[in-house]
Amino acid sequence: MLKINRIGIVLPLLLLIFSAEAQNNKYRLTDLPLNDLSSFKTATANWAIAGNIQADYSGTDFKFSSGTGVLTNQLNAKTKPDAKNIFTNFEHGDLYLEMDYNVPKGSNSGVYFQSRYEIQIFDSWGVANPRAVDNGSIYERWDEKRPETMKGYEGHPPLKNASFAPGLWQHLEVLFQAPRFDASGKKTADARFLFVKLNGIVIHENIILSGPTRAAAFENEVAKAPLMLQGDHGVVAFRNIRYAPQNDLNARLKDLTYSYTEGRFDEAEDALKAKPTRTGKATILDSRLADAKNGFLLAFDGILEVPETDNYFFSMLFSGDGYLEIDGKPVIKKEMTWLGGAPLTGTANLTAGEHKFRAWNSKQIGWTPPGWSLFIQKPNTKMVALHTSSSMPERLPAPLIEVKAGTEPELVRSFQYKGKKKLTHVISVGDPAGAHYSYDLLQGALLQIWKGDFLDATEMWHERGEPQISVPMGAPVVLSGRCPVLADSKSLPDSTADYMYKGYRLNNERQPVFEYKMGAVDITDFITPWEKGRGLSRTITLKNGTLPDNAAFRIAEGKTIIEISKGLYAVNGQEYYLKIISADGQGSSIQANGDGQVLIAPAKSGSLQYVYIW
Amino acid sequence: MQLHTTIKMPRIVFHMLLAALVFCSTSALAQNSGPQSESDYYILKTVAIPDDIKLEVGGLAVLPDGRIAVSTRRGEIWMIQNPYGENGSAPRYTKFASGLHEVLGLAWKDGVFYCAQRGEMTKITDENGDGVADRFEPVTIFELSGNYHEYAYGPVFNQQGEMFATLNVAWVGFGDGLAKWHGWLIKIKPDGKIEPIATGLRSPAGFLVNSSNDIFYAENQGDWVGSGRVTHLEKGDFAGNAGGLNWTSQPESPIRLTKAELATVDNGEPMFMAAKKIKEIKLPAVWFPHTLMGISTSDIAEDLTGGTFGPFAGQYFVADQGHSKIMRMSLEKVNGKYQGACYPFREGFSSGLLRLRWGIDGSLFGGMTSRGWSSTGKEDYGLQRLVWSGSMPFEMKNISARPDGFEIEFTAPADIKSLKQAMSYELNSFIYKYHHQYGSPVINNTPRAIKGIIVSEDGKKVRLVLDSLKEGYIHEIKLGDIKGADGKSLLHNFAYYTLNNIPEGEKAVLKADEKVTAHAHSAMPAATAAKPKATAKRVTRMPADWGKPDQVLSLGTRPGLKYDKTQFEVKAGSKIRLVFNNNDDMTHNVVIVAPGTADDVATQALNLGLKGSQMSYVPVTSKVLYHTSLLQPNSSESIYFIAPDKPGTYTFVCTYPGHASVMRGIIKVTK
Repeated sequence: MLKINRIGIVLPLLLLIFSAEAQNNKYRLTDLPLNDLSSFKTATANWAIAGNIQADYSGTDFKFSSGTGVLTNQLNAKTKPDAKNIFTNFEHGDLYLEMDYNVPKGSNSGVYFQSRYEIQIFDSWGVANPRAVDNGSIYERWDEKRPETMKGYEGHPPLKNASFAPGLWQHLEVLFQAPRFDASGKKTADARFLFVKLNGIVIHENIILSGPTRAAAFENEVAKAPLMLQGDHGVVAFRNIRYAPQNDLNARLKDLTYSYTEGRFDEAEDALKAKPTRTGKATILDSRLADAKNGFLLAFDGILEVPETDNYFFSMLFSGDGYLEIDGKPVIKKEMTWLGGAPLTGTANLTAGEHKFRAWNSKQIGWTPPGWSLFIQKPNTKMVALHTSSSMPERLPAPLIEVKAGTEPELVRSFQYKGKKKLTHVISVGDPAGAHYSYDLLQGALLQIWKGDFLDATEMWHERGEPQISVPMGAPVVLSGRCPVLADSKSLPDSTADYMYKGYRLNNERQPVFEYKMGAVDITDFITPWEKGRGLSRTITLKNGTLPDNAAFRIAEGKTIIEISKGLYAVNGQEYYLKIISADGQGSSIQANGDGQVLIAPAKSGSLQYVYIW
Repeated sequence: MQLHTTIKMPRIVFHMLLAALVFCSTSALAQNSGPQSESDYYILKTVAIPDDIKLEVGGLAVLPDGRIAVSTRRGEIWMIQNPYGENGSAPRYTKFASGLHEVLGLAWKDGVFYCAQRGEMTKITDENGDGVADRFEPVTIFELSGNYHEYAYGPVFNQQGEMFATLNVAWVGFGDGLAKWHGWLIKIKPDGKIEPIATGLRSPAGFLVNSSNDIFYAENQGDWVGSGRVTHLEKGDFAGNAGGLNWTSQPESPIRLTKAELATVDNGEPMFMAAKKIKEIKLPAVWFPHTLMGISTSDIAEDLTGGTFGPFAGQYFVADQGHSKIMRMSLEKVNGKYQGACYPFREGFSSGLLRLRWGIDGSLFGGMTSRGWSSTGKEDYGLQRLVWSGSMPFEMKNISARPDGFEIEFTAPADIKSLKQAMSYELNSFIYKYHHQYGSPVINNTPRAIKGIIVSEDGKKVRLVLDSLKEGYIHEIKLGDIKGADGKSLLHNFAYYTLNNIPEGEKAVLKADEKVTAHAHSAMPAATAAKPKATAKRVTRMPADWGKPDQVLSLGTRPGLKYDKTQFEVKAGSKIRLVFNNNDDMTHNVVIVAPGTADDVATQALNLGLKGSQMSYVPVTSKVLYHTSLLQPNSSESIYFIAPDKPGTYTFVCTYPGHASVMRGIIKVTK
């Protein structure tokens, strides 16, 4: 049970987001099996299932390893003449889709929703100002009848270039809305991309499509069609394809009555027994039928009508105690929550037709505003609201407070999450070259690296800034985030307790050089853009003494670390590249590290330089 | 805001002078008897801030070379040249440092800066001499739980050069010291080791070492803190809030008190009662009664200007963030302990006043921010400077305790006749509850009768002999129509003396003409603890003949002194039920007033003084049409009324002191 705090808590909590949207964003995903090609219609010889790919950021092809789980387009001289696109067996209308994809240098592919509306896949590494042909763009439409420079139209470049380097896995999330048609087949509403996220960054939001994009499989538009992956342009790999159809659900409440009981009640049950202040008819669940903002019980009784026999999922949010029963059986048991908390959920197997519905909300906590939402969903459908939208308080998003890396490096100290742990001594450094990082000062640990725009400080500087969190504005690569020097490499994973933070100096370019001490040894850690921001270089230098014999630089950690070529490593299954710049890799080696691997090098004295490339 | 006060006030003075020239025979009389304002004596000057700088002041340091430095909540340090605006030219800003974490304290010492970031006390140096910081060294690391309320303040240095900092408790619905030494005053040694000094601190945004090398800090109302206050801290002291007690089991802790032991006095008795049982409890030297003085005491400055800043040399100025003003404090030692009084001083700063620092010319800089906490001054941030005009205000300069009463000293001789009149004085004693709840009502408010009045020959002092003194209590001292010998009115006529100890010494022997007879005394206000009764303007049960209301208006609050609705529309003459749910963390009321009278009613409410809380801050005036009582946080009330017959725009407003200017809305009454 939620522990209710005393009054003063109000201010911070109200600033959190409470919205029905948060409930809607929980997609109940289906995996597209990639054990073989049976998830797809006829596949040409270029398509094959693999275990993984291996790549270098400068190579134009992949090395494929055998196994399952990765769909590959192995386009080569032999397969190319007959290479065709591939279509899923499943057909979709409204759809949430997420997947990982990977392209080698210069390659080109695309994801076509309903075989018609393309999100472009392209190697756009390092492109400063992406156009409508770049990675993540909504590809343009094409009309030969238009004048020469106007044939392509209605293309949408991504809001920003969130691309990673060739050969690295990229993550795409899309919410697509299919076009609508009337009974005669006439289109009544255009298709839309409700949002497109690339590598965690929103690159499109609510874009309306007047028709299929260029190179669509079909010129017409329909209610349902397969997903198509482009295979005739270039080498590409896909994995972790998951989707959640967002079909309409025609469920509704009817014959609804409400009863409103005002007063202070210790227990909701007391309020249920009390004489109602007012009763009446209702058409939909609505928190505003309560006059008071606190000290009341509001109950609804009526019929829930569902279209088909199925397992139905319910999600309810309110302030105070709440309860939901169907056909006399509790679906959501009495529990306490509030509008900033997690919605309560329950499931019920319901036959097609009418069911007795009862729900109530007893509000005896004054510090949070009233509101009530109730959603119903069945597999492969959207969540449907059983409440009116004004039953929930209006949510105004905080205006963005962005820190830009302009002509000089920008430094911002903040809290940041590492997984679920809140780190409190974090500095983020934005460089005019466009490669940025966050760094845990206490551990000397690089936490995440990204490119493009620098930092979102809204959660720090809007009002009181309760979360006090800063967030990268670009697509981040999240690193293992641990101390880079080990006093004893034999006692992995950690022997860094005496790695002491000593501050930092700004160099002539006003970039920070971090200073540490381990025993008597002075250590500096300098991170700076590499090749005009294609990566970040890190140089760790030891001075004034030597570390013990077993001391080591911890260069990288991951599930896997593969040496692609001399001194160049692919970390964590092609998540980022790591290149050791110091001569001969300075005796570096890959070692076992729990259930993963670690790349280390002896660290007695001197310095080590390596580069993160992504 | 600032523009308003500096331009408008002189204009009023000008008009007064004009009127005086026309109607009076001498201008001297006009000068002395005209209405006075604080701005006649203390002038607020604004230090202009460039448009693209968010100067949310957290720390302020005055450099001997004529510059000042300001640290901000966004983690920057700005170096400002020409902040005194000499030759009428604008100040010049240079970014000295950035990338720091909410810097709420800044000090300049031996050519380097020290500043408190959330997680660290940092030494900042410009090694290459280009005017921009290039070296940042942690003096010590502060542990943090990740709660936003774990602010760090300082450093402040004592006369030996030792460094001190204070750390806020976290806010988790109550104040708690989730991370080590939060809720504490700490000493930071040169090697970075932390020596805990005192705890019980809740929100210690302002602290100083005074000229006697003693440390004082200012506290905000909250849990375990009935009202704002200033407390002298010595090693081993416990200043009241429970949060920091989490760390008293640490070996370095000079205090062994536990939360469990403190719970034994969590009963709502006054703090001085609890202090009789728990010896670690340190009573505040001066209480700053909530809303009567301020609502969020912040920084403290001791007047060491030797008269450059006016007649209060040796006294203290205490800022208030929520009320955007500066209050004055006088201290004396009684039985070896500090105690004293607070007085109104200067209102009208442009934003939430957090930092006070003396300029090199004896003016007082005020650094401001109100983000996240509303303030009377409407700006988000600001930097101003208070300068003495050179004119002598007629004020109660100092109040000191006597074995049988108080002695009031004035800044200038008073008119002896008015000093001798019993009706010139009104005294009340009251105190606050000490408990884990947030804030406290005023309790045990009783008038104190005056037995005798002894006036000094020069008219500069008056000694009030009371029939009894209440040890441990705050004494409200209100003066009536006392004029200066030159005819001037008092600029401020009330003060609050915290009487922790009654001094030893001889009691006064009253001569016949110094004795006050009971009937000669002014009518004392009847102190009543009774709950506000329903009145015609506050009907809390639905009139029996209504059947049901025609319309229900449901009103709540939003953070930052706001109602959640700012407009209602009702039909003239309709039956209205208004439900006010105070879901804020402060107390509020709802007062519906006649069109165009909200400011007037709010002023009247403010002037109720100590009586205000008993009257729910609702003044007796026909301008008030309907009202709720004063609602504690997390409580609600319904009132029933008939909407006015006359269509128009009526205002509803919270008349709790300091709220009215922002917390209001309108009721449109239509045909």
